[in-house]
Amino acid sequence: MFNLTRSIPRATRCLAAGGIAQPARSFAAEAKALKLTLACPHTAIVSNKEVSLVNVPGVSGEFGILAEHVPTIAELKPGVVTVFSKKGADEVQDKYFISGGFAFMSADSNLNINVVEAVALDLIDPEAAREGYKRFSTELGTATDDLARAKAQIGVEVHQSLCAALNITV
Amino acid sequence: MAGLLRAGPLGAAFSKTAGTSLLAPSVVSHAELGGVRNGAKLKEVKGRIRSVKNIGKITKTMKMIASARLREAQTRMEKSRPFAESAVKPFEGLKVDLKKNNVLVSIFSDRGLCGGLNGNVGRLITSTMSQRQTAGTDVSLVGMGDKAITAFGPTADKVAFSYGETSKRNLSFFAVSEIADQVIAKNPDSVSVMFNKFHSVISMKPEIIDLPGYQALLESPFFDQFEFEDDNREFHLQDVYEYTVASSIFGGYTENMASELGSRMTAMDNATRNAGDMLKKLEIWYNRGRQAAITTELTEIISGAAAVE
Repeated sequence: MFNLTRSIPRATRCLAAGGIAQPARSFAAEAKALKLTLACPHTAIVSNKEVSLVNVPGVSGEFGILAEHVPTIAELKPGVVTVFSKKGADEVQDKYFISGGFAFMSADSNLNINVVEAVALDLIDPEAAREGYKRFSTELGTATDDLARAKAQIGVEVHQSLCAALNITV
Repeated sequence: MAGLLRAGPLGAAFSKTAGTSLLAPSVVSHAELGGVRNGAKLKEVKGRIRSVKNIGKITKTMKMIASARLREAQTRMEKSRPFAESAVKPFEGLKVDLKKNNVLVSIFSDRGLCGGLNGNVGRLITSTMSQRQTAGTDVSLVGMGDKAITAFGPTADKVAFSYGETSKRNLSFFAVSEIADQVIAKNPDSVSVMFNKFHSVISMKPEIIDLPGYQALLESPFFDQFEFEDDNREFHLQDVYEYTVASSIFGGYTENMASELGSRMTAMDNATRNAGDMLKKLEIWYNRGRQAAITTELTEIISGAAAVE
């Protein structure tokens, strides 16, 4: 609690002591902006950046998160995370392909997307994506035990998602 | 490192100087050092000088290697901090009840000569275990790093399993996830991760992170404030729990790596400086001895020549 008193600017305290009323802050100033952190084990791709909207691939469907979204814990499947933010007057869209992880939305508009791997979409080789899909599809067909089948299934889903994200038809 | 120097060939230097000490060469009596008979003693000192020089070279190299590796380990740690911290953030405010069954994952280094790192974690383990056992919690130990085995010696019956060769090269998140899988398979009521937190290059302190187990997560009203997708809380909390355990161990691991290298760099730096100081004193002693031997020989020759005349 004592941290709060320390952070109140001295000017405000002096003015309050002198009995001068502070102007009321407008609603716009009080609305919290959405702060995004997109983190992988080896690096944080986006760190505490102010954004306007984030679309995430939840396991039961894609959904968007704005500031003041209800606190959520969402599991994410392999897919595309789209980040809408403002650069000057323009709105910029950044797309990242994620391997799967979690999105934690807190009450104070902090969105933490924690994934095992995230790559900017324009850094992915479309040929490798197409080839990977073909390879895992064949593996799925020839899989003998449950473990091999599960691994191939995961490979197929991820590459299917990759191809869809890159607008490649397989 | 100081212990090594005291035990080895230099230890002899400390004990054989009857009544005199290396630290005050000026009070060494000439009767002791003078004479050809004491050439053997001079040879010994020469040998010691050589070995101190070599040790100094080794510790200097170790320091340089540690500082080079430290730079990359520190970068790696700083880059993965957002990941480890944000994995635990949703649990902020959740009080962890250790309950009956607590698995304590402690992270050590593989090699020694890294200062007080492993000793500090070992001591914290002992105190934490006794605290928790008095409170009725059963603690099983999991170790990472070759030095865990030495530290676990006295509490060997509480050790669930231990991994070696974890700090020789960087473990990936996948490798750490496998370790996390083993921890989760024990079905603990709570999981704790102990590691050395990197505060600065010269300051690292052992820290514990306590995480609730799956059952505790399920039963806690804490998660009522969150919305879960398709309201399938049981399923998602299981995944969140496993993910958080893996992320926390990974975070602790990267911190410990940076701490280990920083600590080794400081320890080797001190050892090199000590070796340098020791070398100076040994060389002074050696020169005094050499000069005294020459003087004695000369006086013998001169007095012999005078007697003949």
